[in-house]
Amino acid sequence: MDFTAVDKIIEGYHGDKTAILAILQDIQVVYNYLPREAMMRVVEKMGVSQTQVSSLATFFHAFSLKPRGKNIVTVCMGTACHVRGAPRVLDEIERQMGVKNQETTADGQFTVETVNCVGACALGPLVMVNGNYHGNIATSEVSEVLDQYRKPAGQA
Amino acid sequence: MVEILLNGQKYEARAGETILEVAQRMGIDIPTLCHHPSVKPTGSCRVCLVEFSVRGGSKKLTSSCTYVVEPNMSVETHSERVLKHRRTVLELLQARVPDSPELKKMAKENDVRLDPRFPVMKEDCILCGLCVRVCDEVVGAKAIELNDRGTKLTVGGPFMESPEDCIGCGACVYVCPVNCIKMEQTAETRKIVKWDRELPMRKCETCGYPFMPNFQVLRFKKWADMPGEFFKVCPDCRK
Repeated sequence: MDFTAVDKIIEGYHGDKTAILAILQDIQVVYNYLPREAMMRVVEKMGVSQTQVSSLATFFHAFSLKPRGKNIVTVCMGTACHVRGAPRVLDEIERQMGVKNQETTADGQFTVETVNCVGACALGPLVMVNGNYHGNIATSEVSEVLDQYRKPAGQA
Repeated sequence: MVEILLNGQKYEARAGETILEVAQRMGIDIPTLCHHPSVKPTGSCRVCLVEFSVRGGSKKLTSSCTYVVEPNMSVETHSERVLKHRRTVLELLQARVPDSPELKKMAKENDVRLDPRFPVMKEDCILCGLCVRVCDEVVGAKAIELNDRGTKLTVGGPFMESPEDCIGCGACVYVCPVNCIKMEQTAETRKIVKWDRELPMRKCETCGYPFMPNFQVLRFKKWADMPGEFFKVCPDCRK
């Protein structure tokens, strides 16, 4: 594995051992998940224990230890979204993608996840794709929203 | 000095002392599981619950191992309310770990009901994290950790694998309040069963006794900058 990107992130924090969490977040932005090799590089370069990195990486749901797709589809399952039909929206997304929650499509394009509230309850039911909010979403609108993120035909 | 009322009696506590420390010094028996004087308290097992109020204010429950005494404090260690909640905590712990003799003994001493109201889980560990704290704060190996959180919480090596930094010292085996960490030792190897960590042993050059794992020697040299000869013989032959 090429560590250029990881090393650059680590150098940006000037050896501050309280910045492990921030370093992991930055690494996840680059790879969309936390590769084991990258975490081991953090252990080595920052002089912290494996347990310190691992306990942080496993504690926070925002971190993924498994490779994820190019686009992250996050369905809000908070109370407000739930009563406004979030489970049906999730079902529809799972059906269209052919994967279950926490899984990635075979072409590596989409990963479906749920979250227990994004704090935008007035917009429920809400689906977030790559950090973009799609509020008041109906099951009939799911394919339209997902199409915006699909690669246009013929492009690699 | 801080003057506090402990079960109606006046006691002089040292500033910064916890309720549990004062009670233990005064010979008042508060049950504990995750507490050990060598490491910082975390209050995770909850069996050391006590009830306290300050200046006649409302009574609150707290873990005595983490709560530092304050002036005009009145503490009850065995009130009806404390005993009731302590029983529930022990009942829950017993439902999780039903076969621990240590827990059974504590449950009996605290009159915990025998028919469990909670689903029995057949686990062996109460997830108190004492082994993790000892490995970090006393041994310094930082080999094990609490992984994930909530109902998925587990204890073990990084990424739920066998811990590479474990030196096989057995401190976790020694401190575990429910004895769920077992060590198997032969003339050749030592294994910490719960962590699936097996290490070859070093034999004393004088008497031949397998006195410590080779990996532990390597780490001790690194940590303490000790001469290599020091670890060639066992502590008994070193005299």
